[in-house]
Amino acid sequence: MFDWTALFSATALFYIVFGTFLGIIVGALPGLTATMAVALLVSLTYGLSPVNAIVVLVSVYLGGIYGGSRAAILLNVPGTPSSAATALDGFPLTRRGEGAKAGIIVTTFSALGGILGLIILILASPFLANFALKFGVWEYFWMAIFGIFMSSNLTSSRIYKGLIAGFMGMLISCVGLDPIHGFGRYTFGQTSLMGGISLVPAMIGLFGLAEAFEAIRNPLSHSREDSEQEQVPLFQLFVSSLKMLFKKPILFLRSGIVGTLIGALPGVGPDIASWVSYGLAKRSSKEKDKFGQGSYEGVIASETANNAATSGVFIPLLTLGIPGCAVSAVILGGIQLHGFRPGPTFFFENLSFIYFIVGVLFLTNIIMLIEGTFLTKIISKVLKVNIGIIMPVVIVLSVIGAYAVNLRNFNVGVMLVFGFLGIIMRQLKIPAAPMALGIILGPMADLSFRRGLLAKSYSVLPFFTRPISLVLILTIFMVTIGPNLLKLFRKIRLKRS
Amino acid sequence: MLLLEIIVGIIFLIFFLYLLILGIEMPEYGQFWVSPGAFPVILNILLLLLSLWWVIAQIINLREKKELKNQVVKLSALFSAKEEWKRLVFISVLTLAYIYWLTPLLGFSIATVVFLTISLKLFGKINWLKCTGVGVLITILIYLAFRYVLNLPMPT
Repeated sequence: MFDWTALFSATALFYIVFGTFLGIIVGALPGLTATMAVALLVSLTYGLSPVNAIVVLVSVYLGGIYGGSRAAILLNVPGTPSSAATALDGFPLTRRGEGAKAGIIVTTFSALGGILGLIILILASPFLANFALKFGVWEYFWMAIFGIFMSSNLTSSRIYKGLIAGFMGMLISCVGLDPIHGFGRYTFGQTSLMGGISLVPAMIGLFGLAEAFEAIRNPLSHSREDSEQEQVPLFQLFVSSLKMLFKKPILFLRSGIVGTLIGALPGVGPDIASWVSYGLAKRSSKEKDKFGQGSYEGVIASETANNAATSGVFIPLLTLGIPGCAVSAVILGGIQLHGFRPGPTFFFENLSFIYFIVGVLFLTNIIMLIEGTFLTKIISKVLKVNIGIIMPVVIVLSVIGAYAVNLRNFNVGVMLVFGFLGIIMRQLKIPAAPMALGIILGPMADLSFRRGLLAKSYSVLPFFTRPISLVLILTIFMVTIGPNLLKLFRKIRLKRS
Repeated sequence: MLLLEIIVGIIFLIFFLYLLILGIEMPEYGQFWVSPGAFPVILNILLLLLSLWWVIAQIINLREKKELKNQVVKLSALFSAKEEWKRLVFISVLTLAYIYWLTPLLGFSIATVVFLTISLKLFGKINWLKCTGVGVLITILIYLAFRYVLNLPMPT
């Protein structure tokens, strides 16, 4: 029988504190993602007891997802893909001299979002797992398309520019060996392209290197106003972040629920959760114009959702043995390494293990809240150094981050190419975020489309007739295409009149 | 006057047309829509249409002489801020030299010291002694953190 109370031993508590800290630092460094940190740690935790090993993996994961928001807010360089939406409003807040306040608010809502996700996990795990199973390949295809439309609509005033970036991202994800037939697509005879283009180097280039180049080209683009907010004591900032919770309870609850539900969908995870939640927050906000200019609602929506999703990914993992995202697949591997086999009956047969995971998630969110609050001002001060000093360091970190993905110099080249592409895209006002999301979602859309056709004798009808597919298509239309068409009609009518 | 966005839109059209042809030429394995080329073909058709939309939208803007300051980038605007572009060229060349010349020649650590020292001098505007000191210190910190805490090897 697994003794879940071992979680409260001094060693386990130390590992939670250390793991969360390590996760925050790794997440805050551009290019180093939570997935990479957890993947590296799996083999290192082999010598630890199952309790301590799982504690380290989970706390690094949660810390890493939260840590990604640090660089997104302070440098406009998302530390992890799930914090790309946070940068849209987080960095303008930093430029207004409200970086520390934004950091504390994000910390509070990240931890509370994680705990809200945890409550949903406890209450609704079996039900949500069954609902997630209703998603077939047809729905996954539309989910990927939905993600592209959503981020295109949110990041660009001209939707066609966002869609070009998103679909280009999907096209980039097609490079390399086709996962069904093994045919090399767009490799141009280069063996180095057979393995495809990894997301991490591409993302480091698009966000990290391009941002560093842009900051060096035009240092004024990263200038910050001195604000009284920076002088406000930590405790006061924390209290004001709690007040924000009472001012925006609906925003918090909606973002947390959306994040958990999306996190519970196998293969989707926190990256899309933050975008969908951000989009919903923008649509329902009374201050839509503030989004993209430094809106607290924007950063709250994005960070509450991606941290709630970290709890959500454990729903299919614990109830069905299916990982919710790439990093939870690695965590599942780590759990299996220590003799546990999550699956359909595991949830009911190993309740003590479930209590243990719930306990780890709860304690990590609390530790994250404490460590994040204290680290916010320190990180803010470190990153306040002259931009001409900090950006060359970001370039060095980008090189190491790209290389560390799988120790190939090829990835450093990929990072460079995407860095220059990022610069060009900025000049043309083409947003980079949909491209990164396209690279993430491309394989899911490609496989789901072809498997969907194969499953129904090449018929495209199920893509349009299944109830959940229909809901997704209607949502795409109502949220993105509809408002743009309305705008166009109004413009034409105005011209005629 | 030529607008950069129209030129780029046309380049995109040609590029995606080329990729579309490559997609169509991929082997079919029985049924085209489940073959390796199916999804790239769909994406390229969408991208062609979107690029066309982009070009047409810019041409309409041009015809109406309605140049939206925030949306349309003129060629001349790109070269107006010479000092800014000089900085971009410097950092680009320096980064390329750091990755493809200095690192293979001197090893990652020494190359990083050289890269940081030069870039801190150029863009950080501090004296040579401070630049070298900060460059060495940051390199040591990065090396220790990645090599011994995160257990990651350095690039070669």
